[in-house]
Amino acid sequence: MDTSRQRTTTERLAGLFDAHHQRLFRLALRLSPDREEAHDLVQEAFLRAARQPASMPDGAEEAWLVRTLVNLCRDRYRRLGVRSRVHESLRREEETAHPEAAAVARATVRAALARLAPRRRAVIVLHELEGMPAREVARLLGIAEVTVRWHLLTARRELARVLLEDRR
Amino acid sequence: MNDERLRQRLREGDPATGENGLNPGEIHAMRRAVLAAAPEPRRRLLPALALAGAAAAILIALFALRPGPVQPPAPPRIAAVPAQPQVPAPPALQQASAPRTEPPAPGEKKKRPIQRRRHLRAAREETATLASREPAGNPPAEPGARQIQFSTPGGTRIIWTLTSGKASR
Repeated sequence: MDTSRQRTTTERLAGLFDAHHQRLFRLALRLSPDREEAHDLVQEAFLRAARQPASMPDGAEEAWLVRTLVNLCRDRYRRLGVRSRVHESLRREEETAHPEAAAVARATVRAALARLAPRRRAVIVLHELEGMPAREVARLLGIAEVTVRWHLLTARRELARVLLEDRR
Repeated sequence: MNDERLRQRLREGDPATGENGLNPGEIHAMRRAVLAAAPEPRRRLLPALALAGAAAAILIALFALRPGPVQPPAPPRIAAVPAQPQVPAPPALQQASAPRTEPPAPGEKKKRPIQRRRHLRAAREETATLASREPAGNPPAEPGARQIQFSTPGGTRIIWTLTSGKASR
């Protein structure tokens, strides 16, 4: 019975990993300043799922994984501090910036997103870049829809200010 | 900058565009690490079993060491019966003590209160006791005479001797 339960847990984890790792990695790329950190975030999210498989509700595994990823982003954000994080992000982007317009645009947006708090960043990324409705974002992040709308409003103002400053 | 323009700029500079995602080597390594991190059920069950065993032992010890409930003194069996003066046995009492030949009417036994039955039984016993004793100062009963003895609640003993035609007290 133990062996079958172990096999079931392993199969469930394998299925979750195969179904969601690419999507989570794409989200992590949008939330984190570079590819390495995105890779680490995805792996850490799946490791948490593996250590506590019972904490993932059946049928809502994707939402659980997204929430875990966003929480991991918040933890890192708090650990490093806002200022150092933004400066580091900008420095990395300058180092790797390509003269092409697309690369410049990417670097600019990434730097602007890095100035937002992790949850606000997740809300704007899920809504504006992944095209999710506010209700779905609220369900994924486990917050109220009105909070999502408030985060969207504030994030748009902050991003507009940062992008306008950058243009000057 | 309005919302539409902002959205356009964000999409133009989406950090995920141009990224190929995880390569097969990264996927394989990450998958292996994740599956290896799944806890073994036996390891998970051991602490739970140990905890359950300890809890059971503590409960057994508590039950064993708990003092037993204090038994209240048994109430006297006649406590519920209020003390009443003894009813003097009526003359027809001896007849009542005679075995009945007729079968009792249905429900008769239930109709008679239990308290009344006890009094009657006590009176019968007392009468029998007194009758068995031969009082010292009393004259011997004449042959064929009928004697009824009973005592009042105050302690006065009354003896009726019934002879044919007259009664002596």
